[in-house]
Amino acid sequence: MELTELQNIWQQYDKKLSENTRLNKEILRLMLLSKPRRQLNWIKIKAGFFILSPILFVMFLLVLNVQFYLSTNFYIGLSLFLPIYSITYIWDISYFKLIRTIDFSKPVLSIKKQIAELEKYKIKKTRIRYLLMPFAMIGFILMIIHKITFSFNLVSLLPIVLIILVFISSLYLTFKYSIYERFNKLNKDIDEIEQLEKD
Amino acid sequence: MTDKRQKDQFLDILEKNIGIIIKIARAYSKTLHDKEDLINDITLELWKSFGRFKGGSKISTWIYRIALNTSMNYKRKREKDRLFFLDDLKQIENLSWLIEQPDSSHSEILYQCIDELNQLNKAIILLYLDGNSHDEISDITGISKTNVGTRISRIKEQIKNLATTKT
Repeated sequence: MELTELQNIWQQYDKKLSENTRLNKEILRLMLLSKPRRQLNWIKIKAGFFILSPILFVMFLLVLNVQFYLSTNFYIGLSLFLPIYSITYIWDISYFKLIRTIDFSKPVLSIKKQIAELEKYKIKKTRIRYLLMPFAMIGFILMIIHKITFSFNLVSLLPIVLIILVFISSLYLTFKYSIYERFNKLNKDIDEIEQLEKD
Repeated sequence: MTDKRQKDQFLDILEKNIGIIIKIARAYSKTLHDKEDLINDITLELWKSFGRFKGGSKISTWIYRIALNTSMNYKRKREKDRLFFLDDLKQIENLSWLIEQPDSSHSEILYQCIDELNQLNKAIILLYLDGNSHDEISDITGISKTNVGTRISRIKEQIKNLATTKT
């Protein structure tokens, strides 16, 4: 099949489409004159959830009726937990704001680049978040534990060992397989886009 | 501009250019359901961006950009991710006419060939087949004019080979 033949096929298809559309004009008008479809984007729901997370967190503590005692432990815990929580919260807000700046009426390559940069931003933050998480967890535990009474037996050690194991395996899998590969691919994609933009 | 006037103006533009949306949605979707969903998404993105459109570029350039960007970033929605309001169900039924158009066997082959290309090459060949000049393709995609020319020659050769094997 020759190229001219393919172009003829395309033109015929185009003609057929416009004829069909003309016939269905009224349906199209009806469809669009009614309320535009409000389909919520999953990514925006997720970002919205993060924005409301402090309120949800406070509500969770209220429901569980967690008691805080203003001891030295509490203040040490608070000084660990609060800065980390605030930093990650600010990152989530910035990410949400960056998503909202994506304007699909820009050229295809610039959107591709913007999305790749956004993904890179997310990966970087995830990496730091993982490293800070143990400190935030220790901080929170210190905030709710009034007195540290700990006995070295199997019952008290097992949950701690399990938490550490799950955290280390999650850290290993995220860094080794997903983050590193995705980051390299994104850098490669951005390089390719920049090459295409150049004359 | 009143809401009613803005909607009417939008509708006129959409009616004149619906072919672009259908062709792009067809090229970037695998199933009829996805095609319908993608047409819906593109229309919604166009409507969202319409208020900001000040006529800095050609209407067709604006439509091509939004349709291609939406299609390239389209992720198949699972049923549980769809959040419909009651009114929308009626609209979805109304959309069915868009997917009922049967493709001829020839155009089907052409789409099969296009489907083998990567996302960006797919966009370039769709724009080329629609009769856009190299300048316009460069403006829509952001690829430099030199690269557009080189790419088109390569894609044409690729499509030609694919079409020969498929017929």
